[in-house]
Amino acid sequence: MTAGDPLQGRLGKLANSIAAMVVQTLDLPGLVSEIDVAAIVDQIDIVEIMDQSDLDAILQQADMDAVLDNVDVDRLISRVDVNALLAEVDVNTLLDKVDVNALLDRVEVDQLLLRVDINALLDRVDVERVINRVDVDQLIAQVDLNAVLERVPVDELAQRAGIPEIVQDSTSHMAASFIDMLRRITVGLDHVIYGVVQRVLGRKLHELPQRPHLLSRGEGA
Amino acid sequence: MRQDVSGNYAGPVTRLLAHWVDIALAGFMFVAGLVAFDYVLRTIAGVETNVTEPSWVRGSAGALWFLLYWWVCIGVAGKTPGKALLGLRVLSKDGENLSGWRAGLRALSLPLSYLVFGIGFLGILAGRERRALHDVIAGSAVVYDWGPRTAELPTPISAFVARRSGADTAEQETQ
Repeated sequence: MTAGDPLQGRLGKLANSIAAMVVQTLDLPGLVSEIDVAAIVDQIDIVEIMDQSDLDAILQQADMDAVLDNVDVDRLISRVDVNALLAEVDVNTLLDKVDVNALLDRVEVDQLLLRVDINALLDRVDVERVINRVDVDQLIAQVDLNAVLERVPVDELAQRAGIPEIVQDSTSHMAASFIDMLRRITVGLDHVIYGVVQRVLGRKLHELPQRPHLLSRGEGA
Repeated sequence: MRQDVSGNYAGPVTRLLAHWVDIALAGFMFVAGLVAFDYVLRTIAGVETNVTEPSWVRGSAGALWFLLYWWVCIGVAGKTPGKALLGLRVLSKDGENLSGWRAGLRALSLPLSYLVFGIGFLGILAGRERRALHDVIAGSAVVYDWGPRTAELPTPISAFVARRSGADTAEQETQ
């Protein structure tokens, strides 16, 4: 048969008619519903297909801007579990790669500080928790106390704390206590010696006057 | 519990120590004054003197100085530095403040107590009011006075005195 053959034309029409009748007869939605799509998908080796695909070429042909325009970034970010993401990040390794000095050189500290609301920042700081985490012993071990003390006006502090007065009072009290102790000893010896002499002389101490009569009435010295 | 002896007649040990302190202090002050006077004489007047050499002038000056020391101290404060240190005070025999002229009389008669091996001091040990010869002459008495603090006997002697006093009282009641 050749093109433009009348037979071929009739057969073609017949085939089209039959096809139309088959299509009308068939229940296509029912047929489709009977297909096990999952089983078909399972039989497809996606990895092999990906390996055989030239992804770079595909990506080069793709209009990434158009793709990104259609991406709802906010929704995307909201679905990201940042904590889980951060848990997998090796911060130390990350920090090792960061040139901190270069980073700091680029930071304009004055501007940065001007933008910081110190009060708000401090309100958010849990001071007790911070203090609890401080190793005070280690901190003190690193402090040059001599240098610190050289900057402290010790004399002025001592004056303000009233230490000279305290020392003076203590010294006076100690001196008075010592003198009183010495006096008690001599008074005791007086009493013993005088008592012995009076006994020898046959006198009784309680019969002798103890003090001048005006002092006996609570007058004078 | 310590027994309060403030205002009681002072005994021999305390008075002797106070007297020694006064003699030492007054003597030191006199010698220091002599040395200073000698220095002034040599540097200003160009007079060569020897302070260690005895002379009637220096002896008289010393006697006068000691007299003034006791007179002024007791007349003004009722006590010398030595008596203040040991907690003593000189009063009239009745317990009043000693007048100036009695303080002077006491200072003048003090050397008399030294005569005949210090027999004048015997009254402190044996007298009923523990007064030395110069106290009797000046009408004075020496008592314990620790200023704002209470003059006290040591605790063991206080306890002994309390027991003795109780025994004496019991003995008296028996008689």
